[in-house]
Amino acid sequence: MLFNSPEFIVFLLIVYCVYLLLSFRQQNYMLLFASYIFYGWWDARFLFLVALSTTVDYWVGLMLANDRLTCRERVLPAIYLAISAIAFLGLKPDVLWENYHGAAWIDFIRIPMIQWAFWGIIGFLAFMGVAYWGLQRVKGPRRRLLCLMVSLVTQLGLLGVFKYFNFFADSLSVALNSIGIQSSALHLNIILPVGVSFYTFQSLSYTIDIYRRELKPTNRFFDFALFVAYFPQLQAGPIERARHLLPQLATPRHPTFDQLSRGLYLIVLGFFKKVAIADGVAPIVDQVFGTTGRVTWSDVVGGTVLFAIQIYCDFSGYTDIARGISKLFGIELMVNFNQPYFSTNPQDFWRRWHISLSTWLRDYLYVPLGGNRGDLLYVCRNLLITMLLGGLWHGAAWNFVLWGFYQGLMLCVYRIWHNSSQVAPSRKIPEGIELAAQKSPTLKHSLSHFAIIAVFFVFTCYGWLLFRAHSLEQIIEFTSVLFTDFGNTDYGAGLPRLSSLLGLPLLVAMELVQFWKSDAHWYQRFSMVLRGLLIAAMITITIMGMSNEPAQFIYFQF
Amino acid sequence: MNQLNSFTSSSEHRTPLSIAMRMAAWIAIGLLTIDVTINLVFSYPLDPKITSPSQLRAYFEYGRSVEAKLRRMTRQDRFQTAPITLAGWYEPLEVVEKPASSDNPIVTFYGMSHAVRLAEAVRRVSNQFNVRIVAAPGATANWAYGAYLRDRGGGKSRAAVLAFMAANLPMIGTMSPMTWNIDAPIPYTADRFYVENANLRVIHPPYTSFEEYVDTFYHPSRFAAALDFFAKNDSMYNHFIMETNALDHSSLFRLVRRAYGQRFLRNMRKHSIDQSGFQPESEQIVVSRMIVHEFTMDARRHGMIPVIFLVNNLGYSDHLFQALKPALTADKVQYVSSHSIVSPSNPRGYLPDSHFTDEVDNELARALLKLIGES
Repeated sequence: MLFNSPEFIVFLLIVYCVYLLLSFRQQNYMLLFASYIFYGWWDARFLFLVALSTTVDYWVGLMLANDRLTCRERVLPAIYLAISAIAFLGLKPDVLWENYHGAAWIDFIRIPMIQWAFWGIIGFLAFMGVAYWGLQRVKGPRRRLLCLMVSLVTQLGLLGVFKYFNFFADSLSVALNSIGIQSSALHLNIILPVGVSFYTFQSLSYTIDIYRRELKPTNRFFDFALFVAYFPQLQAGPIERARHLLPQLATPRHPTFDQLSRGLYLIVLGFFKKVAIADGVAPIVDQVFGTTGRVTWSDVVGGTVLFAIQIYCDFSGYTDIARGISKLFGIELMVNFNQPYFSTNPQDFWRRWHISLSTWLRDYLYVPLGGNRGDLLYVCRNLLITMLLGGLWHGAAWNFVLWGFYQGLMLCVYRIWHNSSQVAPSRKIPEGIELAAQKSPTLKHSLSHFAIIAVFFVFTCYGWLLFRAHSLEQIIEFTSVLFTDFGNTDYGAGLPRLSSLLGLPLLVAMELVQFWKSDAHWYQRFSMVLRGLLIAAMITITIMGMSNEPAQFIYFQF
Repeated sequence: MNQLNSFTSSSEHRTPLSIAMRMAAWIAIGLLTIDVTINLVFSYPLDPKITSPSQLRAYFEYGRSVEAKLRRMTRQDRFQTAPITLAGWYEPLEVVEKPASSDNPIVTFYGMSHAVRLAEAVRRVSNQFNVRIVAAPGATANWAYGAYLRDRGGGKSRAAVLAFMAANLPMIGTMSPMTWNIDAPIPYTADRFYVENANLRVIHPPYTSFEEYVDTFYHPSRFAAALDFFAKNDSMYNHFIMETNALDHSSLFRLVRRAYGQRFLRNMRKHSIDQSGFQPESEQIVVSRMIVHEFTMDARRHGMIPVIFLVNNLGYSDHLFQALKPALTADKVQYVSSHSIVSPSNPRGYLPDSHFTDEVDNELARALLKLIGES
């Protein structure tokens, strides 16, 4: 189910009305049920993966903390997983939904899938039972490490099979063929489950934090299941940390008026960004990157800048809607974007762009690799590995790897330059601007500061070119056009939709005010009249954007 | 600072409910102001003879109900009505002849503006042929085939060219562009074809001339009956898009209706086309293939060379060609498919109004003449 679909609006209204009527515990059960409907609307079969991910990490979390599971802790998740396997893999909810009149009961069952699901889950539970028995016999830190391995293997295994198997199999086949070893590619027809990268990383953070003794596990299974499947952020984040979200799910919530008003504002803002702007520029971006004809410098620059706008409005729009909906429930999700295009350097960019992923990578990959410890070469190695894997997280394709490498390279160059400018005081001018800018609002908003922002935006955009390109050949062609056709103003890709032409200046103005005031809630300082007009303008432009072809959120594919 | 305090600092004496009510009121006032402002600043000219208002004026009119738009465009007097309301009628069928020399063989084109541009390109690249053009704005293939059946090359053509366009192939089950061209409806009507027992059947529209249309339109009971007929027989008829109501006066509501209309059209298109192309078993493709077959047989019977012109629009890949290929090969029909001249993913082959560039049209014309010459 897409946020920008009428079905979702109806779904949300029903869920919210029911939510307000229920007691705290019932709210959690209802939210879990609603989250499964939300996800299953796309393809109910993949709900089994969510259930599997939930069950395994629930057990692992408790094993890490308590070294054992109580009978209830063993049985309840096992029953849940077994029911999930049979219901999600063995039944056809779409038939149930569409043809419940006159359909025979046999029509609702996937045969022979239901048999495989039944025996498969029996086998899996038996295996887990043996594993539990084995783990009981291992002592001390080794047992904790083995428990963590179970979580890592399960979550990364899901990612590996569903997201990366074909990529590596195809790449290996190409590599072998190129050195003369004939190999037929082992290509599986696998559908990439929506949001798999998000919920597996979210779940992993839970077990790793417990392993590090930074978090106590929950023994309430359904709270944990809701933490993994919580629908506003299930498909495209933010990748929440258990220590932030779980306590909110485990205690009664009383949405304040402030949460309601900010939540509604965020929902309007999110739809405005997505429906009016991102979907309004998408056809032009698709045209530039999908062309088989000649492209000019203006086409490449125009298409890339528009993609920078599209991906920001698309992804941050999703996050705004997710955060807004959560606020209505009285649940705070983490901030995922902080005006990334106002960054002055790559480090700054990654503190502002997809913050939940960058902090995840920092805490669970970069720091364990060694982080900032050691000499510069060692730090650069850590940065490159982290960003390469961060690129690969986005998708199983070489352009994402290249994008990750580009980001890592920028971070390394910045790190080297930053270190050398600290050693040589005579070359400290840009650093000085940055430091002084933190103290003086005048300097922060000086022209030179904006010039640095503009220059870095160019580098960011080149990264987006790597990200959006559909092949290595296109990257080479577009890059070559950028240098050999410089300044050619023969633009052939057309204009974005009217909603984005009107919406973009309004968004830029809003972002500038926010940047200028250094206040994410700047609009609340305005008079009520101005706020009313601002929201009315956003609603109007969003309605205009509703005529655009609604595109799936870009990050769903990750 | 506490979040709630920060929010209410300027209005400490007010309760949250009163703040919410005031905020909602200001948003409503803002929306009303925008609505009225759009209506005043971008009001659409009432004179039907004004055919090119500014783009923004046209934009904010897109969502007006089709009936209201027709009412604004239509006058009983041919000289007062909007020119577009006179286009595309079967009775009388408007034929444009462009002779280069009276002795030249004639090629007759049936279709939409792409067919017109191809005919003009034929005249540009060669003076060996005369052209006859039977066309309507945005004409679907069913209109074109209906026109062909009424004209049959004027009884003097060497070749007959029937145009199919990817973008409006999903509308082949409609009876008028007023039901699917919701941004800018046109009242002319078309035959609807369907396949029954492997035969092509036809449903004729309730009126086929401008005079009949005006007569029907200005008699509420007859027009209501005509709308009922369209509702039964036109695959894309939608009451909400078609019928007028008081909300036509609100510019914001018009935007909502336009969004609804676009969504409705997208959903209807999905019945026949998805990312992989046209669905061979869809009614639209079954009928299209049958039209290709019947047109071919009929043209040959009447001593003409049948040619199918396939317009693969920007972004449609070669889906149209792939969908009709079985019919083209089965009857060994001559065809010109634009995808062989310009890639449907190359915007430089297309003008901003979605037509081909003159160079592409010239290439298509040369390909067409070569085919006719070889036949």
